[in-house]
Amino acid sequence: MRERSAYRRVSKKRVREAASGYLFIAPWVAGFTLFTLGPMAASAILSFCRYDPSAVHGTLEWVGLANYARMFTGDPLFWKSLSVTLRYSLISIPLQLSGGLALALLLNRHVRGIALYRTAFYLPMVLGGVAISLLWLWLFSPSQGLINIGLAKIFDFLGQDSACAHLLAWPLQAVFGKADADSLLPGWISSERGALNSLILMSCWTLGGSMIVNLAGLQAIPKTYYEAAEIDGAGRWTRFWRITIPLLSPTIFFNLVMGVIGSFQVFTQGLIMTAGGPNNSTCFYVLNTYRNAFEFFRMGYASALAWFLFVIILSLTLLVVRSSSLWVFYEAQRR
Amino acid sequence: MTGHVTKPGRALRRLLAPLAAHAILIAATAVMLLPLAWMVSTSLKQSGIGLSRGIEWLPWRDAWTNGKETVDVMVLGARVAPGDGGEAVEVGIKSLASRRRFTTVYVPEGAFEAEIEAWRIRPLTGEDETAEARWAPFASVRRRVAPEWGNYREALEKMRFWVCLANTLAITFLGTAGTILSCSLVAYGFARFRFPGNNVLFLVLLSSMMLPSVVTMIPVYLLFRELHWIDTLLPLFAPAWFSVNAFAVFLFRQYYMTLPFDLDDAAQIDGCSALGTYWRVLLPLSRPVMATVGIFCFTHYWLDFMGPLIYLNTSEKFTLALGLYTFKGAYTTQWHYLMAATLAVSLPCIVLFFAGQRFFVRGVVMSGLKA
Repeated sequence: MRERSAYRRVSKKRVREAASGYLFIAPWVAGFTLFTLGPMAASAILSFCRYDPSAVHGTLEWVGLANYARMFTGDPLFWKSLSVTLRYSLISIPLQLSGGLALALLLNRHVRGIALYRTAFYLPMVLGGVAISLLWLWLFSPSQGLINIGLAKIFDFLGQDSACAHLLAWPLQAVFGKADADSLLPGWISSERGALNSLILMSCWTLGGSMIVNLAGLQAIPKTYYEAAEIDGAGRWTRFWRITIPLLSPTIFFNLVMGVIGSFQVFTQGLIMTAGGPNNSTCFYVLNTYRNAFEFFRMGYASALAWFLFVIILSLTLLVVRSSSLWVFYEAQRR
Repeated sequence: MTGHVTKPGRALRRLLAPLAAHAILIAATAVMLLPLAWMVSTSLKQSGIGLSRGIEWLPWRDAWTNGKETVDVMVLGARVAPGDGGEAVEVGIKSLASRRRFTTVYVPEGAFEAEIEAWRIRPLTGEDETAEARWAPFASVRRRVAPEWGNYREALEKMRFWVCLANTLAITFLGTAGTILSCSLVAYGFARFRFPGNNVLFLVLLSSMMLPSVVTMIPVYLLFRELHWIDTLLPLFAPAWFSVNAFAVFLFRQYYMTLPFDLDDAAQIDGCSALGTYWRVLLPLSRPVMATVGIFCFTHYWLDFMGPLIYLNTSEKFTLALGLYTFKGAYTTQWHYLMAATLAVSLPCIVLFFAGQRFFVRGVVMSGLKA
């Protein structure tokens, strides 16, 4: 009997505790329902409708799978934007991963003033998309930009018609397009061939983010592992592949997931620097979605586009997470 | 034997290795900082020819002097024109004070070519007498380093910087305060109370970090439209008060988990309610997380572009990021103005970054290690 009342008291206390807990997380429950769960459901429903909020009779009309049918069969820009975003992601993610790791390795040493170097590499991250886009728009300017003026000086030095100049210009123009027909200079974002690659090159300027994460990962690796390996006669290369990479794999995994989520949503550069052009060569998927929603007011179709992107990102993320057991090494799992 | 041979080599290596490291680091840092330096340099240059002179890092200015007074001028350009004695080069010069073209100078082509180098005009000497009179004013166009600070004043005025700044400050302050308060409160609930579904809900919260914002963008826009919040600042900071920043909740919760329950017990014995414990004990203790979240939110709201782009229509409501974007549309080729405006917009974030670097880096690192 006594036991029972004690239990009841405990359980009453528990109920009160749970009630307080729910009360404290209530703002999140409300916010999550209002701004995430509800909108997700609404956008799923919208994707089966035609809805133009700007029209006088802005009515919601059920059209079934018509939006999806149009996406896959009737809209060449959908395929174009998908391929632009895929190409961007396929090249920029590996570049970001390897570049960030290389930078972190370079900066993970004890030399005087190392904090200053780290600051310098991270600095571009705090400028933000609009400022970075404007700055690089100026740097990439075919006739007045810093990059092309510098290249022109190099070509002048080598001699405009020399084999050396042509040898240097050829790979540059193969990747970044031509400024104009008989120029040795690359066209960067003004050429259809070079625009997307230029934006990828620009993304390397903000390697600082993944560098910082990698650096923290590197610093968490116990020095004793390296010392033990050195005593066992392992060389630099072996130590890198057998110690650094496995112990850093959770960090690389995180950078990969964030890279997938981030690069599939690239938008600002495409809008500000190239407006999707030339000839839609930088019409990113999210830019296309934004235009459909807020410029052409095809809210239903844009919702379908958004949901398709969500499915792509979700499946890619799941793929990475599922595959992680094969290549991500968690120290705690060993025991 | 071998030890004897390698010893001096090793010493040399120990001496050279840091030098090599510095050389590589300095080179890499220079490449990273060059664009920023070019931005600063451009923002201080004269318009027109000042921008297209090639690679000049210092803001040179041309000044014309006739021996008595000096007038700042702008060399507009030179072109070949038919002069009295055959071919000549015509140089256009504009006074910066009166904003009017006040002189053009004719110079025999050969002499001109020899003396001008990348728009650098040097005094000419020892030529024939008749031409000297014409050359005289031209010869006294000189260059001096003179940063055009006025670029900033004009650029800021043209992009309506102060209006944009007030809006951005309001959004940034209200968004950051809302995030810190609501997220720490929710995190307190997750960290300190047992209730059915605690873990599941926290997992849901974590997974919402991965959700691309595009999916919810349209319905959230329609929701705010129903509320008649379009073209107001409300859609940009109101969600922050509903703890929508899952990452911030995560950071606060992880931090509260490291604080001992004894603190709560002691506070409750002293008569604190659950809310009082949060407000008087846990929240003040979580200052490092508040700093990290605060800096993160500050930069997020300061730099946010897509939100203002979607929700704001009239220029009185614009934020700095959106103002900069529309400014770019209006002054496409005025790079000195554009770079001055860009720098002014990013400066607060740069300053904040240097001031709170420790917290900044900690935030990035925490996001990476615990995920």
